[in-house]
Amino acid sequence: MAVALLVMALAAAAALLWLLRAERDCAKRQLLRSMHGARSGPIGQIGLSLLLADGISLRRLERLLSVEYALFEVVAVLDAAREEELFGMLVARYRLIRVGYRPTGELPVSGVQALYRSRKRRFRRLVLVDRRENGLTPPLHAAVEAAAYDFLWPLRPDERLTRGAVERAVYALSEAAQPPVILRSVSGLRATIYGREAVAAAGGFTRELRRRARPRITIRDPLTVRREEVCGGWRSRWLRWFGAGLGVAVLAAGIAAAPAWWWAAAWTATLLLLALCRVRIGQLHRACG
Amino acid sequence: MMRILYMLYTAAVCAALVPLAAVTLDRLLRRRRRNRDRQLCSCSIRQIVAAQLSDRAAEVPLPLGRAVGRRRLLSELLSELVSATYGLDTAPVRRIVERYGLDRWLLRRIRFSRGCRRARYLKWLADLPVGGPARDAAKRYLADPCREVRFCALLVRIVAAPEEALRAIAGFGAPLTDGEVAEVLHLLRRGLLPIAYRPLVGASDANLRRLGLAIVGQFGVEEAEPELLHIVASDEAALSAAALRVLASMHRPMRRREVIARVRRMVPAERHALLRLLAREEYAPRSVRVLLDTAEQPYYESLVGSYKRQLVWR
Repeated sequence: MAVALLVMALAAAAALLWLLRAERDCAKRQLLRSMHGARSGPIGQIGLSLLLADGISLRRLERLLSVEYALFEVVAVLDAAREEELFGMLVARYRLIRVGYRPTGELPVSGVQALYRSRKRRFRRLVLVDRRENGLTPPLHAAVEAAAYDFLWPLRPDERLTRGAVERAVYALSEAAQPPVILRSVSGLRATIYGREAVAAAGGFTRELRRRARPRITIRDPLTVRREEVCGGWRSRWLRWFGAGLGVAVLAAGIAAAPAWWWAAAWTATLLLLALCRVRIGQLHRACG
Repeated sequence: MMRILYMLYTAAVCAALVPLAAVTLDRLLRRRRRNRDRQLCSCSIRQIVAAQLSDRAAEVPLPLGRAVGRRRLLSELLSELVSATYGLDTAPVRRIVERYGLDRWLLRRIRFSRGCRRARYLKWLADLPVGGPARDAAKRYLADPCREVRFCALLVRIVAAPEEALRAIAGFGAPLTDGEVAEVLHLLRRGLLPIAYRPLVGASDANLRRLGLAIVGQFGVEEAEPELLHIVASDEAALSAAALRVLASMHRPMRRREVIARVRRMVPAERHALLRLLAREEYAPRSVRVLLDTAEQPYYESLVGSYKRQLVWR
């Protein structure tokens, strides 16, 4: 009985602490959203290159290119021979022309056929790398070779940026006393932004680099979330219903096994608190994301 | 005994549940009103813009004045509008602030909040055209333990008394981050601060020098090159690197003695970052050859080989 009370109290305390931290993080995100410095110009020459090696579509690129931060670019790696239609659409939409490509030698790269940039100034932030997939080197290496800025942000196919994510990431990078090797977000889909020199020194985006690199910044800001068009929204709905069902089952089981009414009341109150904290944290993420 | 403990625990959890449930329900209702609030915001913006052209439009009550939580919505809307525009006539906006009592509401919210929430309300106070007494009331937050609150209180003070801006920035008490410098620069772009770079780049305070470098870089003040070279030659690593980047962003000649000496002192990672910046600014390899060692020549030429083609649309 005493142990059960202790466990319930610890669970309730942990949930409330988690909620308080989420409230604080949301307040910080809302404060950064009201800052306009990043929308008016670059912050301290901090530049971000967003790297896409998979899940490229016109709609996704349109959304990524609408980021307002000045020192930002999108580097997409595509196999033009395999995805001819998509390649044609991108070339037509963004008025791409073939430009010279010379590898910088920072990372081993193979299969690159050409580099494309836009002849239109308004699409100057898009770089398209035509690379034949040959299994020798990862496609992201080709993206790194074509990237212009000092910080690299590889985006997975199922990820999308939250509102103002680039600006918030730049603010976080600017707060560091010295340029970090890694910026890691432990909320959302756990985005990681790498320093270019560290990636070159490690020979790529290795797990070792993610785990051991120093100095690093860790933030609790969901920079990326899951793309609805990838999973159709069914996954989050299914998870929600499953979680609710599981919660009801646990509550019922606890009440059924309760030795006394005051035990059942404490159990019910604890589960209600946990559920409400979870709902509130979801609201905070949606409000700020 | 155990029963009493359980009952006390249940009572404590219920005491936490009630306010939490109230906040959750309030946010849920706010989310349901979101579309309606968005439409009222867009109607209100149109009316405020119309008020810039005609005083009569300013006398009509705003659609957003009927919304739940109107003062919060109005404060946010006006802050965004004022921050995103240049040359806005603040008289209609001031009338709106007075009519709905936004300054008093903001001061109340600032008093009863903490941390970044307080900083956000202070930021709105800095953006809105409120009177001097409201801004004076925010002075005490300059000593707040939270850095974000101190910085936003600094913004309020700068906007309230632009002639004391330099003294306020020098007295901030901590090095300004690049993001904070960008925020102060944003005030400058809106015409709230004078663009006098000379007293800044030559100042003894590091914050003022950083702000001066940012102004020189932002407005491309080529006459400041001698001062920048002086900073490049100084011993302060961070400031001299920043001055070097400003010189590069203004496309000034890189074959200066001070620049060569500073580049030689850089670690390889810093040099590579500088080379990428020079390539983005389209320096030809010949013009920066003196900065490069033998191993870096092909690296720089490979960077230029991919970027120079941007000249197609220049």
